[in-house]
Amino acid sequence: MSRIQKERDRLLASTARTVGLTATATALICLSVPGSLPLPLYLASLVLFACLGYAQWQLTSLLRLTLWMWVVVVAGVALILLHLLPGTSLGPSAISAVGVIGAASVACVCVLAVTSRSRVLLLVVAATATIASLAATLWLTGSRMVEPLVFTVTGWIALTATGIWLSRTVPRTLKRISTMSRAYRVERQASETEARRRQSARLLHDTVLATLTLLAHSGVGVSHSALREQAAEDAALLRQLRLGFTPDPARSGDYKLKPVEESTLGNTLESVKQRFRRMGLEVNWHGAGQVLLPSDVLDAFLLALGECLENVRRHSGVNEAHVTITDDETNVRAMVTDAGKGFDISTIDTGRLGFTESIVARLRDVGGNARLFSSPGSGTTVVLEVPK
Amino acid sequence: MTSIDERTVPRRTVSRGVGDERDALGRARLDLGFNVATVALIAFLLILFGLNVAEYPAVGLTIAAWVLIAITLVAALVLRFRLPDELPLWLYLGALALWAGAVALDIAGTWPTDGAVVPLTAATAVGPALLLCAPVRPARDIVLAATGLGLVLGVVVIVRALPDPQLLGPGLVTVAIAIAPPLVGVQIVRSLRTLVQLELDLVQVQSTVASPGYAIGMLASEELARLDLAAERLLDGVATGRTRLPLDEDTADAAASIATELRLHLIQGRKETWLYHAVTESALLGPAVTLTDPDGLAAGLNRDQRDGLLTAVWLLISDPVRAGSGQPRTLTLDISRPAGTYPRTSNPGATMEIVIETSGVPRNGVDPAAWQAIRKVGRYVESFSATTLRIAITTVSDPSGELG
Repeated sequence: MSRIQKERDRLLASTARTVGLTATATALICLSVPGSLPLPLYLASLVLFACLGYAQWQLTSLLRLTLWMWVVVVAGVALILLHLLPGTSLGPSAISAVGVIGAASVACVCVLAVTSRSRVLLLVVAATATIASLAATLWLTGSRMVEPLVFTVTGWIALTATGIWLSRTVPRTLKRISTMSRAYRVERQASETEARRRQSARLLHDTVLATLTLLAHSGVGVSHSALREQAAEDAALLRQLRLGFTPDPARSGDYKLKPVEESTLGNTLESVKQRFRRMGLEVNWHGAGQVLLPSDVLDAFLLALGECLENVRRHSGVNEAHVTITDDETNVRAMVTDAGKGFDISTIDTGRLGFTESIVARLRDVGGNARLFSSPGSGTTVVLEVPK
Repeated sequence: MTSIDERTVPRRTVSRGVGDERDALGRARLDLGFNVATVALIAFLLILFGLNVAEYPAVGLTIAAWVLIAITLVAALVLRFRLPDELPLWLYLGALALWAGAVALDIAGTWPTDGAVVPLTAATAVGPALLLCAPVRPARDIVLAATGLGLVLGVVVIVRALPDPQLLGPGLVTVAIAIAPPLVGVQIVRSLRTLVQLELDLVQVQSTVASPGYAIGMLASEELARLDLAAERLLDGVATGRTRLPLDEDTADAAASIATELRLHLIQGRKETWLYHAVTESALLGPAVTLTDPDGLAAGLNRDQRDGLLTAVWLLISDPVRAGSGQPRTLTLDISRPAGTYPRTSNPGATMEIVIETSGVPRNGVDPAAWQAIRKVGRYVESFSATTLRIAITTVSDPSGELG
């Protein structure tokens, strides 16, 4: 049984159960009005009511459904026929009770019966049996016939219509929803592409992050006009990124923002240098300038380097830093040194160093690491290492 | 400040469309099915009136009540296709007022003068008429109206049955015909709506099966766009001099937090698997599932395995919701390498063990479709201890299945 069918049957069954139990309770109260049935018959009817109610309750288990439907029909018809036994004309409450049993207690099975051919047979048999037993009971006891019979026919029509309509609506709706999965997939793809585009604009974000950090620290040591200039450049790049371009800033000549699989270190380092010069820190490069790195490694490496230099600028008290790049067969190493005031590593709050978890984690992600050496009065050295 | 073009800010346009669709589906074609039931019940009541018309003490009043009912039904027929999905409140209140009038007229018209009690018909017909409103008004409105109607009719019926208790039976049936249809209608509408929401959730979750093993995820992607925009605005403010330097404390804090979040988002997406995104993006799974997958092994599952795993988890959790009997179950999902396996990062063909644990599942109460789905993932062993169901699946990630 497919899932859609199961959901459909669940809904039909819970509707049938609600309708059936409500009707059964109503009929039970009607019969409980004094004078409706002689006491022994009333007690017998309670047993049948219990069967009827239990079977209706079991409908939602969806197990042995047809069996429970038959139990409902048999118990309901038996309850109607029970009213033959007194042999006298039925009072208003008893007529109401048999009417409700016929119109809804038994008829609740027709909500479920429309889903398969064998159950449609059950529906026809049950409807015939109910109406026949009701007519026979009322006629033989000489009671009013028209109202309960019309009521019963109404109940069967209304509930069958509800069943047919529900059993068609549910699968149709669910199928319609499943066609929407394509829309979701496309949306997911688009969002993934967009995120990758933004992430791959890593140099842009590198400079934006540096500027934001600078702003957050009240731009210590940088002139307001330099800060404004830098902010304007970054904002313009972000705007381009947002408008769907991949910024390739010819203007500053430094940023290389097209996603490239491999980049040389040299020209990108130059951009870092420019940026720090504007903020008053002279960065001196030493060593290899033409190292090729995979883009994610370069990404992590540059971000970490930028962080280190920002720390030098902010905390060292000097305006010059040296970056020595060396490489061997397997690794690229950057040593960032300053001759500033230094600090005692054991006392410093690592968060303030900018050695935030994310930066170190990012280096580790690409298989690299970072080490820090410093002591008060003798400057600081950070060694960043990434694999080639 | 250079103007920022709001129209180009990325938005989740598709999901908005989906939201509209969700509402439309919730109500879709609900009226048609109720129409037949309503017409059948009202026809019965009209026949009942016709059969006893000679005995009505003030037949004019009852006829007037029926005319009011007829007016609202004809109005409903005419307006049906011109109305928005939800019936406007004033129209609903208008209908309620007319129906209150019909109830009053019918009660007055059938008031027993010399012992002869005739059935309430037009007043009862208000119940089936309310059923028509069930798909187009919030459940609370219908329940309130049905309860009010039930109370009024109940009091009238009891008062009239005081001389002869046998009259209670027919009176009770009258009340039942009046209040049961709208209440059952509300229940159906609510179940359908739950069903639609769950299905939409499943469809959304399943869209992750085709995504790359490690993905950025829709939420993070949106967040990244938002942060870029926030950064742009801030920098723009500084550049144009609109924001004074040095920054005041609040703006400085904002800059710092944007930078931190941006940093985190830039490195994100490399660690989160499709499964993580599926769980966090789902309204159903998000609060209910605790996922532990430190090595990101889920990324190695192929499309079929992913589909199976998601479907199984979804079925296990949503079962009580779909049966209309309560809250989703909670579930833990642990993915790890079996003990003793040499840890090889993202190595194709790696063995993994997926353990699903959930409590409160009856022993035979697991949807058979869930087992079928689990079979698609790999070999499994299930065990029950007390109320906890534990399913341990051993599987091998598919070397060719690494998507994207």
